[in-house]
Amino acid sequence: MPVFEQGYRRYSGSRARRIARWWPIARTSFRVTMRWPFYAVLVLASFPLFQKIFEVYAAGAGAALFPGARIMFGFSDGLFYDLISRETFFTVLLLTVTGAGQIAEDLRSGALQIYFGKPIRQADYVIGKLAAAVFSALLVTLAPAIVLFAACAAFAPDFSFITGNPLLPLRILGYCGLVSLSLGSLVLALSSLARSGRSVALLFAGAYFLTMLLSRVLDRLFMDWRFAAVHIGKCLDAAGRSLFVDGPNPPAPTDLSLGMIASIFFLSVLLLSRRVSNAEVVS
Amino acid sequence: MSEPPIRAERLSRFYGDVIGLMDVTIDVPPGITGLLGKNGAGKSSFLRVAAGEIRPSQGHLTIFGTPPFANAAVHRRTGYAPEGDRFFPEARAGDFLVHLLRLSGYVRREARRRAAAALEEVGLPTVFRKRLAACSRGMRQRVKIASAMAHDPDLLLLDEPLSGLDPLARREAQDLIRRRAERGATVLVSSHVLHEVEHLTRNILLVNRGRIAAAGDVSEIRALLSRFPRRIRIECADPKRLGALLLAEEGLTALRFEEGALVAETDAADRVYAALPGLVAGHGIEVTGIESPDDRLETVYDLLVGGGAE
Repeated sequence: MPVFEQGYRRYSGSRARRIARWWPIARTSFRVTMRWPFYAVLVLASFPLFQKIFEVYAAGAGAALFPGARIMFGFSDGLFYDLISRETFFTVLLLTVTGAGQIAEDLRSGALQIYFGKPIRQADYVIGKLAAAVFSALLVTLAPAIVLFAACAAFAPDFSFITGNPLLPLRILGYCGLVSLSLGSLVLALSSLARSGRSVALLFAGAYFLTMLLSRVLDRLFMDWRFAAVHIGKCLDAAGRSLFVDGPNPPAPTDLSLGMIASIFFLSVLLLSRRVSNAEVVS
Repeated sequence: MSEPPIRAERLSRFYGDVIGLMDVTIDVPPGITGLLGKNGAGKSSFLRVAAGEIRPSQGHLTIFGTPPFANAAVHRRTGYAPEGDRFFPEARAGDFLVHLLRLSGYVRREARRRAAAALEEVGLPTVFRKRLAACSRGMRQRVKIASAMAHDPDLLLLDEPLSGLDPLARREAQDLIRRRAERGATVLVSSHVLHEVEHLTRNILLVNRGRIAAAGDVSEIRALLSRFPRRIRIECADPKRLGALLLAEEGLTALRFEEGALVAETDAADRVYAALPGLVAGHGIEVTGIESPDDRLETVYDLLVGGGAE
């Protein structure tokens, strides 16, 4: 009997257990980013960490060698705020070189068609890409913070620094997560708007530095510190300061900064879902 | 009656002002179906709608009873090999397949096993670690077929799967497609090279200018052509004598003589075929070959698509 006259028989192929569908996307996306600019930024990003480790050593175990160090430095939350806020710049740098092309290159090469021809949801794709970007960002924020925490534990004269700061790991995690998630989602949203990673890199870095300039100009012009919230770096800085340091001079109003960060995140996710969910690629 | 694997109802797809598909209503049965048409006829549009890559502009299409666009459940049961290359350029053949299988829900170990098996099945057991960019066109074509089949889909949508393959690889690929169909998969395979499809199946869909020009078995389609004269080419020792005898037959519309053969054009081919043995035997004419060029799919195709049926 010809095959086409046979009744429909389902082939009983074995199917493995369900896995998180975003994971292969995240893994592949992250592996693609591991080229020389990635490592170069990692090396650059390690300098603030080395400086902080030296400060901690000088104030603790090496106090005999550096008698004045304990006065200049010290074991406090501020150490971590200072480190992570300085690493924010390197996060922007890293995402510029590694995150800008994440979706743009997929749009250009038709890889979206490969992905959406498979049983994954659009959410899996976005989560996978976001996970890769956030993981990259955490390598220059959370990883140095963990190393610094270990250095503090190793060089501090006693454990009062750790026992007196039970919420410190959560604060570190919160600040790093805020920086990584907001900047990661922003670069991906911009990446979904173009088909060239280079244009997105220029757009992302340009937007970051131009808003920094704009916030300073507006601040000076109108003598109103709320304008500082135009710049996402200042917003993140203010959010970090509220988490770690109760200083009198946050760079921007905390409420406004948190609102801006939340807005940027939700707008980015909205843009991503709109750009990716209707990805009907007509070649 | 159960839902056919592919059902299109008044399906249209437009690309701006360009018509990709127009008012297509068709059921694709289980087994192998050939999707035939010239370049730009709408074959790829139909396959892309079926694969869930693009949405219909009007009407609808269902795969196993559900619309395929952005439908993970359908994608799980579908394997699609597009016409052009869609690879991650830097990827190795094996890694690419493993990645696709992981997206299909297989754990790493199972994905690697299946990727290796799929590459072996398409005759590329040694290219697992070879970069796709360094593979020949034929190799990439076979990797593409492997990627469509590796997760054992119930429905295979293959867009020009045999293009770029050498004759031996083409034969192997055809055997592979047939084996999949024998195991229960529905296969819709497009081509504009007609003999490729003839070797795979007699069940065809003929597409022209976005519309289905004909559907069904080749012989059924040929029956549609009864209003067109059919040619019978008879190779014999004495064409002119045989021609004179055939003139007495009803329905003969034209006779043409070639070197050692005559070509009879008739509206009643069955009568000519029935009368021929008697004429040949009765008058002692030695016949060395009989063929009807119009029995070939190419002719059906040309008549229907080339304007004869319009």
